[in-house]
Amino acid sequence: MKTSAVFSAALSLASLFAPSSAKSTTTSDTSTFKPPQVWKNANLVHIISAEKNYIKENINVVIENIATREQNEYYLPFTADQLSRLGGVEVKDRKDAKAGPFHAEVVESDPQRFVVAGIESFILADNAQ
Amino acid sequence: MPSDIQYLRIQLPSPVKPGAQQTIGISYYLLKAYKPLPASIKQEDPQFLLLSFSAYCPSAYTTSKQKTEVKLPSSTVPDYTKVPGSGDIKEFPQKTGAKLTYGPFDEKPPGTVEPVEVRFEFNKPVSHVTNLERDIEVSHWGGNIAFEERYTLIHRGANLSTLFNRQKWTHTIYYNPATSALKELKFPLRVGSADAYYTDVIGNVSTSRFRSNKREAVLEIKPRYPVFGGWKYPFTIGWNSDAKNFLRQTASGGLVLNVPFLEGPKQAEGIEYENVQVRVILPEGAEYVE
Repeated sequence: MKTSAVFSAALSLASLFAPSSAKSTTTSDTSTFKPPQVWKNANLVHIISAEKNYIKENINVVIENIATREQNEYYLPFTADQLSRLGGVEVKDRKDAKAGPFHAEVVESDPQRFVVAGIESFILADNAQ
Repeated sequence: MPSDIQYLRIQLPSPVKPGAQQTIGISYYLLKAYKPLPASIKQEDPQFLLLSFSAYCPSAYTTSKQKTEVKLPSSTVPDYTKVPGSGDIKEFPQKTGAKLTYGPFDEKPPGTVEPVEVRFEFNKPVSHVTNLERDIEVSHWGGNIAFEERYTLIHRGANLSTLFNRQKWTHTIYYNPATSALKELKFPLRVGSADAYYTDVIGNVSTSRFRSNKREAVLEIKPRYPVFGGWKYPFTIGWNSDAKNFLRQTASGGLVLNVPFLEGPKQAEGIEYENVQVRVILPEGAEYVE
């Protein structure tokens, strides 16, 4: 009885506090982040190989800079679900093999993490009393 | 655009000038990619999988021209979503053998997606290793390197709609038809591997074969039971090898260990790993580990 009350209280408190903590700690929230519109995909070929019990995808694309300044960052969208199942990302220049694999990384920020952290800290506080 | 979109940032090696073009090739893998449909089948029925994707490649930018090709394991593709065509072609996709082609499409604004589904025959196991622990233990005292791998394997394909029938299964041994059940795993090991063992929670599993000679070392194991869709099979394999096969001395008196990061089974249908933990256990007192 008591514990369930504590949990619901902690949850309601967490829900009150979490949004503010998430706002203060994430500077580039993914839900609001939009890549600048500096590229145009001139020609794109997407190959999905489903021959094995995993999927290999190839995106071969000719990109064109449509901005007024030179650019060196290209963004590729994924859903959160896809991202959790993603592996072995490799980006190359199709015409220049010597350029080597390019650096690729996920744009960091996970607002949900802060909500969970909020709940945990409240439960700990309750135990301390 | 849905709000759960996240981005992968790709750093180009040199900046691209306004109006200039660059060709990039992006490749990646996706695990747990299919859903069996029907979700449950009879023991002797073929298995079909459903693949969902977007006919237009999801992009953060305007795409002038594009097409999507899907390469399938068989030309038996009973269902696929059709989308209106353009130009001379009335509708997409165009099917040639085991390949479907959506497109070419004309200009699409950023974030345009067109969810489509393809259902195809895949009468092979959908083996998925949820967890693999691989230990590589170096012993100076024994001049030996011991490998042990603990697999937690699950078949992500179609479940059985009725109880497993051992009699029916035994019948099939003689004519060996294609089945979605996992019957065998083949591990090509390094030449010089010895003392292979294969156990599961019950104990030693006797249905294995280990061939080791000058040219090859292959461990072939059969699971204790055929692994059907939704079934799990956790097992352990291990083997030894002389330390000299993997260790070499440097001029400064140090030792260099050179071992394969992963070995794993070699299956025609492939295998995927969700979590892999590789541990290298060095002899007690090993110092200056780099």
